[in-house]
Amino acid sequence: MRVCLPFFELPAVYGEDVVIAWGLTYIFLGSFIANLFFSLISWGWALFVLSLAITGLNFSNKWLVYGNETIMPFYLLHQPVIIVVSYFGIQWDAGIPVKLLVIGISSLLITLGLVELLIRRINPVRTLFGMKPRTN
Amino acid sequence: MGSLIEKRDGILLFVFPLSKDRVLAQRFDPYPQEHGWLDFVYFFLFLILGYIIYSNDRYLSAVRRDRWLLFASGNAGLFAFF
Repeated sequence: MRVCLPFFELPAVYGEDVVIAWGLTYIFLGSFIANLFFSLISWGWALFVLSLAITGLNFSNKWLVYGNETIMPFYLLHQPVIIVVSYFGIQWDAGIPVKLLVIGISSLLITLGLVELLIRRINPVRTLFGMKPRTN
Repeated sequence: MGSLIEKRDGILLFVFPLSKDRVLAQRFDPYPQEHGWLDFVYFFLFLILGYIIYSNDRYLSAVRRDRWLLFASGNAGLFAFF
């Protein structure tokens, strides 16, 4: 079933053969109203959460400073480390929860170790991984 | 737009262009799926609007000021939508 409007030729939802995932109608007025509510939800919640973050997350500490500095090399390294660790981890004869825990924790520690020992302390490598050179 | 934002509820005016753009974009994706192209285009607008909001303190203060109004609007839209 299709409805022809002056500017929009759009399928209508008033037929059993048309299933719309979002439940929106495509008749122009109905579509605009449904999308208005949809936008109200997304805009209202997005900005509400933003307002909470503006007031509630406006602080800093040494962990945040460290994390902010090392986020880029950590991001670049974590995936290859996970793949290498998992390659050996999945061959281990143990239950999936145990393997998951071991792979997760060991990948985290190895990645942090690589970042701390091989990247964070050497200025040329810092530059390669998008970090500012150390001044002291 | 900046002067409208300074008025109470002004931050909600962004809902109208967002709705209009989503309706127009549906012309090209008439059967939208969750996380489909329509959502991609629609939420890309949020990325741009986020940049605009952070570019001006008036927008940020409006977000802070109208926090509970935004919360109420989000919930009202939720109930109306379903």
